[in-house]
Amino acid sequence: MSKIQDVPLEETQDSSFVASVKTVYNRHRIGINFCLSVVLALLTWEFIDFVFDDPDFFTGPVAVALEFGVLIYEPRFWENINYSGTELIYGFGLAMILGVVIGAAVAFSRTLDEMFSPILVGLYATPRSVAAPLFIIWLGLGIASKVGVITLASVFPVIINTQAGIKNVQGEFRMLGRAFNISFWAMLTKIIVPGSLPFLIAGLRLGYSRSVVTIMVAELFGAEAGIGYMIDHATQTFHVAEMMVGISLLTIMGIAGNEILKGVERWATPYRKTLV
Amino acid sequence: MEALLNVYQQQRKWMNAILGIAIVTVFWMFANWQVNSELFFVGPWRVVTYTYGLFASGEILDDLRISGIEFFWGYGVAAVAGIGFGMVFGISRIFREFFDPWLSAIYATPSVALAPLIIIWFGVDLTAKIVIVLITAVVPIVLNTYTGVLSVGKEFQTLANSFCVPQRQILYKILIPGSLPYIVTGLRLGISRGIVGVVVGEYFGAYAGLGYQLFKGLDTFNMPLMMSCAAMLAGTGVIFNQVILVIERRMAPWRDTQLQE
Repeated sequence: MSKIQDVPLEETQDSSFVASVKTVYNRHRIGINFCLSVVLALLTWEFIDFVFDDPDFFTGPVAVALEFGVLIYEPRFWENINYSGTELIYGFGLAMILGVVIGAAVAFSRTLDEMFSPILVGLYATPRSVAAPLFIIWLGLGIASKVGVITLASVFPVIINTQAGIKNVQGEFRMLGRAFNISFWAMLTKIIVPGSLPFLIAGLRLGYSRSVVTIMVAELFGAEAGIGYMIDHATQTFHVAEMMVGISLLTIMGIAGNEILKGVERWATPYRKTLV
Repeated sequence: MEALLNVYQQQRKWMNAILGIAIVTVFWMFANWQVNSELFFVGPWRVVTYTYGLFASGEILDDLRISGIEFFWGYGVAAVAGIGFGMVFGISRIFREFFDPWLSAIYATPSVALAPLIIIWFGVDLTAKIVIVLITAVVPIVLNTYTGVLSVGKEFQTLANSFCVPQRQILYKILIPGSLPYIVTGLRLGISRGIVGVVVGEYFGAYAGLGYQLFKGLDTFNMPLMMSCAAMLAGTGVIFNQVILVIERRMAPWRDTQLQE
């Protein structure tokens, strides 16, 4: 909340070097602060590691990077990534399909909306990860139970956002379409889908970030392989560096998927600014 | 028949909601009848009677108490710290620019993945569980408060500045009320995550708690116990969510809440 008084007016009276540094800083303020912030974070992290000096309990960024360099030569590591990646693709893919279909159904049919929306909203608020142990009994320790839990966890934001998106398409556009007597198919592809796409993608992004978290939860309660399994196993054997590699991998998966979906949104809906 | 249809038309919304619940219940009962094995599935009636039995014999009360302590301490600290930090990040430009990468990293990191590390640091007692609930619940609260403060219209602040309103009053009269819907959304999201935190925390060596009972059910193939624990945890989430919604409607009647994340 910068007030007018905060703007420095007597800057020019400084020595020329300080002044030029300040000019550069002010011009690239956001970028420089970003870099400073990241460097500071890494230094703090490394410093805490230096103070604790106990690799069983804490590891700094250097140790994590070194551990990563060691792990990439182990086939087991790639198996874990493969396993979790498969879970993510199947689980999130199913959630996408189911979410869009159910969301469209409750958006188009008033009866279905009145019947199931209260239940859907209720389920949206419940912690679905508590169903993970149930899925292990129903679907076994293999990949199927994880896919089930991930689907369950990420399907609700997709449903709710699809429904909101379709309902949000302005009435005047629909009326315009009806006035020109366009076919149902044209109405769908030219008006409803483009109009609801920003919401739909926002829902997919929410669902995706939940999927990544759920990989961890689902694999924690019993798994054969996977990144979450690797994290849990590494912690139990006091390999904190390996654990940190696992957490970083999940973080990278989250950020990468989110950026891809953002890119899809920019490409598919150039007519609208990004919804947060 | 005519009268019945009339009633349906008038109370359409409620009737359909009840009908929806009835359809789900019948489907559940049908699935139970098909599976017909208590090792794998139990029907709705059995879940209700089993839960009642747990309360009547009093054996669940201790678990409820332990899980409640974990949840309320963890969530309480998360709410206070989350709103506080979110406000600071939203108000101070230096803080915002400086810690924005940290916030993005925290947002992208599955906080549940840190749970094993917390156990290593704090042991298996109650403190560790409270910390796990805290770190899982705090993220959406911080981020939503931060977004909420940023979303408050600049024109309100310019107005206040031109009337020489003191900073403290800008905070109380403009920033907090303006960001309230976002804060409430953050608090609601935090509830569901906090409950996941309780379950995950109790997975690592607990002696009581709803999550502990859930895993005991898993280990002993006691399906009714698992399903009634899962139902209780889910029900708690829904109830707290509604409570916060009611509080919000009291405090901020000028805006109706949207489900968002």
